[in-house]
Amino acid sequence: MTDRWTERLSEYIDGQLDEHERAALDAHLGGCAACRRTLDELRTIVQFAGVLPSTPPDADLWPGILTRIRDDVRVIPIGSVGEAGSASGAGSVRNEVGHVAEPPSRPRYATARFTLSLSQLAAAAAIVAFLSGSTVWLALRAGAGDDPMFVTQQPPSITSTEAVDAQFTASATYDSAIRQLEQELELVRDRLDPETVALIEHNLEVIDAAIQEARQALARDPANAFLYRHLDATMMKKIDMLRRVTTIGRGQA
Amino acid sequence: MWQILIVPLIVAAAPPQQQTDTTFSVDARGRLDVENRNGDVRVRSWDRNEVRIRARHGARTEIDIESRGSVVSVEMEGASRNAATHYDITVPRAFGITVDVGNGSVELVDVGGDIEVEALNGNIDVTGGTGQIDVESLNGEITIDGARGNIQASTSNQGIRILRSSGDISAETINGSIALTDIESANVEAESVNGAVDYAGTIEDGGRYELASHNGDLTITIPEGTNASVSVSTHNGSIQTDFPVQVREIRSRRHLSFTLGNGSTRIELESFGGSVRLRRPDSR
Amino acid sequence: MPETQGSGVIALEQQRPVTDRPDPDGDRADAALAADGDTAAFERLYRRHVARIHSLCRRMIGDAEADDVAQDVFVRAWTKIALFRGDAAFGTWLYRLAINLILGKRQSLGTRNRRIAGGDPSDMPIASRSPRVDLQVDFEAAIRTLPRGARDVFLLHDVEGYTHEEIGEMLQVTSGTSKSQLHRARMTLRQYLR
Repeated sequence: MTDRWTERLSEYIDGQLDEHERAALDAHLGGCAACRRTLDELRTIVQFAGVLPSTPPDADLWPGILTRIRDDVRVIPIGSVGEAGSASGAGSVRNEVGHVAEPPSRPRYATARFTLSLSQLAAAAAIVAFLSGSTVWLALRAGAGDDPMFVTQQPPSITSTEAVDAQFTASATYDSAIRQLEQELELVRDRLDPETVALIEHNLEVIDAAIQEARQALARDPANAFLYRHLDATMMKKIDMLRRVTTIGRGQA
Repeated sequence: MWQILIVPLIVAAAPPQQQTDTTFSVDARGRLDVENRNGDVRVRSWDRNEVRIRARHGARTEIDIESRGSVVSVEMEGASRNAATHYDITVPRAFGITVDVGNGSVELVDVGGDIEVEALNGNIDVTGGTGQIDVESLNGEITIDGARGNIQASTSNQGIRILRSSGDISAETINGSIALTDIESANVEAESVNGAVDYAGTIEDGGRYELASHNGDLTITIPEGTNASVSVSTHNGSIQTDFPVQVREIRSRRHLSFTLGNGSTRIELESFGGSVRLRRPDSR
Repeated sequence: MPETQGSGVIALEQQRPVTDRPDPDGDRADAALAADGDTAAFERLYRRHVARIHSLCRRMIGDAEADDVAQDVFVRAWTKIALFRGDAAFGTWLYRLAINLILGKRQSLGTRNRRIAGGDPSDMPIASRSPRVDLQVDFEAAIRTLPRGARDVFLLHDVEGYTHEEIGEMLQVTSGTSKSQLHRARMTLRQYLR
């Protein structure tokens, strides 16, 4: 049962209601067996969560970690993301594979290096690329070897990792990602044919209608795992669609 | 670069007048790479180690064919934005194909190697084939018939039909339906937003079959003797099964999970507004 | 930390090897050594924190990738350890680094054959009815079926003890959103008690 009392039960458990609200809920609980049951169940969930154990991995990961941190990687800078010292890093990125550039002028610390696997790099690059409209990074390790890795010259530009981190954090939620993509789409919209644009907008409307319906259903039935998953999946379709269109748009000269 | 012409509705500036026809030798295993702004691309195969390229194009267009290693790439030069070039290409059977078309349909017949097609505004038709198939259209219908390799098909504004094919399948559309008929696969994923999704094919032990839609009905045909863990959810629709399900397995009017046989396969059907039907092969 | 009341706490078996016990002073010392390049010191940090980090990875990303992601967390921690100033607990710093990494990975632009419902592949069916002995296994599986937003908040708040303000900062949501996601998560998880 969903009513205005039920909505406050979590805050009640967490001690986040003020005196007045707490007293009101206490009074309600006195007379509502259903709410008392729900309260007990919620408390049990919280207890389970509190004692959820941390278990280590089956395999010992240390040898793999040691190999990677010891790995002597010859570093090839790819160009910095944004200005040295700025964490927003939304400036242009030069795509210079294998080109050795000047080291950043203001190293922040002497010993740290970082490596990212190609898939991490692709992920990082893709996010930075679509969020900032800049070209995609790519790096190859000089001297062949196994996986291509993104590397930066020692001492590293702290702006690179921080920029990536900042972007990751900034796009942690769907809404944020969608907003960014929509902005990006605005920028490339002019390059697309009006018929294409109409088509895309129609498809986005279809998806938006679906999202709206799912949201409304969820509002009426918040304890419904299926609806969550469905909303989740539908929002991902919107992101996929926006991404695809942005790629097409960017491909237009 | 790709300007859309809604081809059936707009008369092109001038019908393609010139023909290019060239044939040359290649290694049996290679790849053909075609880029075409406007116009159809048709590729067939033969047993010769040769590539034949025929094109109908406007007077000012030149067909640029380059053979680099095992890749033959074809594109046009000098064409005005509205000019259409239609290709009819024949390649050795084992060749792979990559096609990138702005405004035109793509038809591939009996291509043995891997296939990759991207079309902005055009239908994609693949018949036969034994390699991986990865086709994507923004506005076009996709039909795949008689293919025997893993298939990924994606369109947004039309439907997808895959028939008489085998291999893993992933099909996705927004505003169209998906019909998978006469399929042999252990791994099927088919999703639409505004269209129905149907699967009729083998249900193999240990496989995974996921159909989902927002507004469309889902239908899956489940042969006798299937071993599957089935989970069905709808929000606004009904669930119909052709076979008996225990009352205790019905979690709610709109959620159903039950086991058939030893439950080794996973079947997941989720529709928001549509109904879900689990049918037997012989029923209507 | 969430309040615990009365009975309902279940004794849980550890089936896997026990990792080293927490040691905040040791952490601080080892972090300083590791920043100077001492891999043995970093290994000690690893042994003390891998269980928690790996569990977080499993719950947020899934079993299949947890090993890789956990490794990535420690490798990144190595490269950034000179930034750790020792004013906060090393565990907290490491944890935040892990969360950033995990959130970043999940945003990575996967191909269209990525399984999207629920955010993670979960091999366990929903709500298996089981005796109390299996409750822990069911509970972990249940958490995994939560949608991402609710799951993240639940893990960070009820399992790890962060406040809504801290969660808001980490996930870039308002603390109001965090509260409502938490409530939804808890409400949804109730069905696994039945």
